[in-house]
Amino acid sequence: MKLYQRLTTHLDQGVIGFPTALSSAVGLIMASPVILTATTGFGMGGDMFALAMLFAFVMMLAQSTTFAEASAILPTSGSVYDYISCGMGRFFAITGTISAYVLVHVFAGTSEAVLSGIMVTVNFPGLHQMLEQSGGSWMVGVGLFVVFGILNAFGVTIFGKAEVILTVGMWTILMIFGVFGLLLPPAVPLAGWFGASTVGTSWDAILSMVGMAMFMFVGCEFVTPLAPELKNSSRNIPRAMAVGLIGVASCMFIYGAAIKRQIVNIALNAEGTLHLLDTPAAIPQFAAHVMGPIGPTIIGFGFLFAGAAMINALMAGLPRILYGMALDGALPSMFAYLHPRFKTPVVGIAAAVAVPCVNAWFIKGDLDRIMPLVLAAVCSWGSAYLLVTISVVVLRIRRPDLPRAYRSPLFPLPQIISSVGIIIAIIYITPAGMNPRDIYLPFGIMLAITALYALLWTTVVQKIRPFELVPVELILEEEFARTDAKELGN
Amino acid sequence: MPAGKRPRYIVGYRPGATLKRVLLDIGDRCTSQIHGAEAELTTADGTVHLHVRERVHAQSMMHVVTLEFSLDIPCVPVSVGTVDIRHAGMFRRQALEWRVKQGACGDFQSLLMHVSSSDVLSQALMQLDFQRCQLHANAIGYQLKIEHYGASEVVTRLPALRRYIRLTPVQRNALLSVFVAFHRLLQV
Repeated sequence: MKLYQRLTTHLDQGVIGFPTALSSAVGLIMASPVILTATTGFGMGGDMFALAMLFAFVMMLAQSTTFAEASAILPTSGSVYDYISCGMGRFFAITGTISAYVLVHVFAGTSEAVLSGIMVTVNFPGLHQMLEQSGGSWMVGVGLFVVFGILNAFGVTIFGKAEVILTVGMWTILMIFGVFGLLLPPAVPLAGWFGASTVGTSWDAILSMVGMAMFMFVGCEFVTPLAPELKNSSRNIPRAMAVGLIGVASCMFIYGAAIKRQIVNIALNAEGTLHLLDTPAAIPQFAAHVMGPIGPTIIGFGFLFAGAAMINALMAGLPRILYGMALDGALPSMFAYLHPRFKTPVVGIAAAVAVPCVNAWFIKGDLDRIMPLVLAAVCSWGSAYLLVTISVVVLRIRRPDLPRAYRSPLFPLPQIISSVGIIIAIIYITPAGMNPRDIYLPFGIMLAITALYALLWTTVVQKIRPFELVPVELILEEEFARTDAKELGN
Repeated sequence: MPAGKRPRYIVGYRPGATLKRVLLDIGDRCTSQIHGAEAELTTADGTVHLHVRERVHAQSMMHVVTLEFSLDIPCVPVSVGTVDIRHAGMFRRQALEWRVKQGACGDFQSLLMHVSSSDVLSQALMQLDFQRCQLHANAIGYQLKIEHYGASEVVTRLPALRRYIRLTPVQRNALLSVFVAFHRLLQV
């Protein structure tokens, strides 16, 4: 009973208000792959992509209630690891955690490495042409990774306190361009708000774009670990997630409608399989059409700062996480090495630079390989979400007695909606014109390696039963028991 | 940004959460009194009192919460000055560097010679993964500030996660040994 009282007390200590929760819920709208996904999606799907976005939006709202409940039951570190450990056991917990964090970095990080440079230089035609002649503008993104890796290795940190400015700035730039694009006389006559679909209007076509649409809302679950710290979390978490998702969706809808109205989506190859809106080249044309010659410059600098900030965040955050994992024995001890003078985890930084850069070099910055990588990231991310949802459902059924500061409403309807939606999105992940093998193969191989690692780690190294559920009390005891003892001692 | 100065406005920052975890890592080596994102620590033998506060290093799309441990030794110092203590070496820690930022007078240099000659202190400092270590002397006494590389929480948005970097027992012992050694060497 004391444990429950301690948990309830812990959950009642919220100090964080709604504005912070809202800014946490607004996803990674500034990421280059997100903008390209929106451009490509509206380009190929038109109104049907907007419908796919609505499906993804509802799924994400449903999923958000699951995350909120999970973080209310286990307000420990906010990691999916604890949620899945209690609901499905350590094997699935390790698989899900690596799938959610590491695999997403491998796939989405590579697309960021390739795209961030292209999205910047494409807005400066002279520079872009010169770079294309000398090896490819995608090398700029790789260069940004290397530069920020070196800066972080020397302990130089920039972009401090810039998050809100960059996020709001990028959102505002896209909104301004979008609204102006809607107000100007249309250059392309459209039947509806977003134009006709070039991939058909069948259910198969719509469902094949849900995975792409999901990617736009990546990161919105970031607010959920804040549950114990939020004032009135049962009200503020769903409200912040709903408002955040609406903010992202509205921005993307306006941007999508505007770019479809102002840019003629011409075919770029003889077969007619590649269109202008499938490429970053559409963005400067749209910017110039809306704002004149200064348009591409504004949006180019926007992408430069946004891309640099995101890459810097990867370089600053991931190596420190690797350092922590090495301390825990989950990674080789070389990742815990700190440079004597700069006190930076240089091995981790080198790995964080190498993984996306080598991958980008391996695909030679081929833009045709980017969308499959993004979709492979969605598969990884969706798999982890599924495991969290199953865990929350299992805990609801097996442990209805646990105190929950937030309970997912209409249980199990949101869980069914999000799970069925994710499964369908993964099954239909391949949009028209793409080879399913390009998505499923890298995702499948990486997931199989992850699962094998999880099995070996639990059975050989940890010597535990991989599928045995971890009692919630055990994890909560670790969090609170020693604190209780400490407080009694004081 | 120092704790207490609107820390709640940093996205995802949980005031006091990292501090509580570090105190668990310190265990029964110290007793503590927590006040939000700050705490007062006393070593088990009751001789050394430390102040700990959370510092939030905000970056775009992420932030790191570190802990700054400080020891105040009220006394009349030999002179006023500030010195940064760092590890020297290209790949391995070879020695300690005592970089005087202010107060290059003879008395202060003599004090540093006295402190830096302590084997116990040098061994503990060489072992410690400190990010920042600064000794400051002013009119009311000495203040030693140490920011550890571990004992921190990293919060990122891509991927969206938070991870606590624990203070290992070896590092905890080294950290406390440094404070105890300084306390002994500087107390008049």
